[in-house]
Amino acid sequence: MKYVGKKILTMLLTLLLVSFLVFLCFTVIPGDPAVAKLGTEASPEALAALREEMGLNRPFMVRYMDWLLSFMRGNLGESYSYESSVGELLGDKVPITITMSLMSMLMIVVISIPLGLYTAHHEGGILDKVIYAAGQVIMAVPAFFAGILITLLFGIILKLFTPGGYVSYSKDFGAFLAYMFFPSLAIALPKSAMTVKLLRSGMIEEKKQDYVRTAYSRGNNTKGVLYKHVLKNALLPIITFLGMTFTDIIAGSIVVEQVFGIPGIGRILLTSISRRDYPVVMAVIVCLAAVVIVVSTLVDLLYQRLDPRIRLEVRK
Amino acid sequence: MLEIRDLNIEFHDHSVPETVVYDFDLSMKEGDIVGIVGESGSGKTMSALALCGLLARHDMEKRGQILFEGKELLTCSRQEMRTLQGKEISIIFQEPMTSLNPVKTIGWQVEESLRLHTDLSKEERRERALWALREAELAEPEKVYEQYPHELSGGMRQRVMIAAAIVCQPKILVADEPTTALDVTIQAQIIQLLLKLNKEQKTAILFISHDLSLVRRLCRRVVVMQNGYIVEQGDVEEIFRSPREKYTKRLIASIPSCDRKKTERDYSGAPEIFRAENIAAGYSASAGLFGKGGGKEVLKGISFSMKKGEILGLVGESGCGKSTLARILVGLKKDYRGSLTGAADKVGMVFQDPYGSLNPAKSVGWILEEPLRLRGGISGADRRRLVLEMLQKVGLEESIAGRYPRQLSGGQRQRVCIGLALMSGPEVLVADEAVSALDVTIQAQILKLLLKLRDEMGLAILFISHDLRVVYQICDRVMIMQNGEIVEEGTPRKIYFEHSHPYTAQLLEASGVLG
Repeated sequence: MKYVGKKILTMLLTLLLVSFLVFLCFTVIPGDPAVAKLGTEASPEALAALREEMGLNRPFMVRYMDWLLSFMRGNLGESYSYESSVGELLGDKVPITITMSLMSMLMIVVISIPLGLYTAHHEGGILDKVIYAAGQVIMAVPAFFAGILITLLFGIILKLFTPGGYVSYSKDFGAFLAYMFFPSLAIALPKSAMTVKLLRSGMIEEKKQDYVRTAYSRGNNTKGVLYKHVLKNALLPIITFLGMTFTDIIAGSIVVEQVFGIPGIGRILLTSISRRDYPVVMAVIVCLAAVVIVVSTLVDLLYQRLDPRIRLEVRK
Repeated sequence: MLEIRDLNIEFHDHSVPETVVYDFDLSMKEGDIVGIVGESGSGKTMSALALCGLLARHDMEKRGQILFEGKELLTCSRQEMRTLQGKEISIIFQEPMTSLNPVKTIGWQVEESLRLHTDLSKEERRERALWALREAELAEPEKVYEQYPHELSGGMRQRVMIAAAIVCQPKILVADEPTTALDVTIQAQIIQLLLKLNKEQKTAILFISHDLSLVRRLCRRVVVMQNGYIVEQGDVEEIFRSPREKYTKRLIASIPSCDRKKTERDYSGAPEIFRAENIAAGYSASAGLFGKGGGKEVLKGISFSMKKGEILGLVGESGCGKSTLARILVGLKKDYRGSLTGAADKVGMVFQDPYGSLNPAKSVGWILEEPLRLRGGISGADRRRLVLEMLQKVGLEESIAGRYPRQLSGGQRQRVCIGLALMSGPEVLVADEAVSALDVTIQAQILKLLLKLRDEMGLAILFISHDLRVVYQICDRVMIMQNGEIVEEGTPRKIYFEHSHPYTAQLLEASGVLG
């Protein structure tokens, strides 16, 4: 319990640091929300008045504390460029991105673990070689390019989905999930290729361990040795890898949303940055950071569930 | 019960087929204890693995017959073999630290053979596993049942391996160097345990070891192997009394004996070159996360001195602080209390593992040159000359300089390690279990080399070992260490025959050195 409390405290401190750094960033980089709003043709007086009105003339720490206090009260502020509050603006977009990320994650697990097991079991076989070669290629394809290829193949040639035909989850949840399938796949494919390779080599490495010989000596067949003994040991590094991958998935989703025309937070983040719409940017980044930190904490906890050697240290 | 005839094992992974076992014959009856003795590469482990059906590589060929209760094991299907593995024929291995699956509970692992070979219920399996753990003399079997391998010591893990091996009450237990990685006192306990199982369960034991004296304590019959051939077999005592073959004679002769008449050198006139006073050190358990971190005191005020040309033995069990002391002496561990005076900055070290201690990607010449390069100010030609001189000094040919560690034998590698330790011109050499990983005949050669270097260079050597025979043979003075303290110190004769501390007596008793 104490351990979990400690973890949560660390998470909160990390979030605080992230928010401060992002706030600092936007103070330092060139660009002015007032100019973004009124245009470069606006008179200096009008700009000065708007800056005063938006509170941009106050000292940095005052603005940050102001933002932090209202954020903690649940008030994410008003968007500079959209005529609505940040909370409303993001409220219906965050679920889209989260759904897509979780779907990708699930796909990576579903694709890579069976393939990793298969290739490790049939090391050197024809299918192993084919999967290995295909994996090398797929690994090198960035998610957005995979998105373009998938749109071309499944959308335009095979007509399995309508490119750009996004359906809102509030309208038809089934159709929403169906549309999200291919964008998620675009993110998951390169990551799956990496995971397969990692699991395969991990299993093959584990197969050389002494306890494997012990397992054979008790009368296990190869399948029994792989599933009952090797798999759990080989999965441990994979879990760490998947935890780190989740960050990449979220980052990847921002670009992939553009390719598939999905109105997730990716699109709003990009427009908000170019319009210097700081309240929106701050909220998005802090939300994403929170998700990433929560996931990595969960991975830590899961790892401890699976590896008794770590569990002991925690108990101590 | 078991009849092995003309077993030949051949590897085909190189262009020329390589035979590792020639015409191996062995027969065992119920309740027999047979030892197979030989050095690494003699084929003893290969023969045993073949019996257990664990040599199933595609690039090897096995010929001959292994008849187990009339069943031919070499030609039977793997499926048939699996019905015997763990049920009728079990094996325990040398490395108890790594032979258990780290992420499964002990109970799960001990029960595995039961799950594979019987249809006992969960409850019955648990009962049976607890019986096996008790039989292997583990205190608190219920607790061990729930634990994971990393929570147990090496000796306990080997007991768990034995429990898992006997859980189905096999007819044959193959023990492949089961005590080599363990301390002497644990070693003696495991030997006792095997004897008990043999007596009570009538389990036949095939005991494989490089240690002839250990085989003598356990087995009635022994098979001596060399280079894949059986050179001699018969009654253990008879072979000890009148070995027929030259190789057997050499094996027996290379067992260092503890002769009461050992001549002891007098060092009263020699200058003292090294002194350690009140060395104390500990390891703090990684503190911070929860505040107070309970540290562990490993060394509790160790004092000793060494004279020029003296070989000082340091004996104790794993965890007593021997290696920590060695690390302090060579400067690898800096957080200690107490003082080192004399040639404290001229200490070289030879490690136990001649395989892992040398960088595999560099040539021997490069490795030996490194201390000189680091010191600087020596020309390339001079460095090469010094390296060649050192190779000669440690009994290696000059051509070795161009080779890589993997191309050398274990003995050659340990010579390189000794040369490396001497490259920086030390006056004190710390040898931490420097011969423990070597075969007896190689061991004898390395010990001879150390004595020669001592005589030529006046080196003082701190010889850390758990092998009481070797210590008696080579050391001028011996310190016995227990729980971070020196409990007794004196000449080998005094320590071995007139000791006063009970722990010294216990160690000597367990090692069986005094016959």
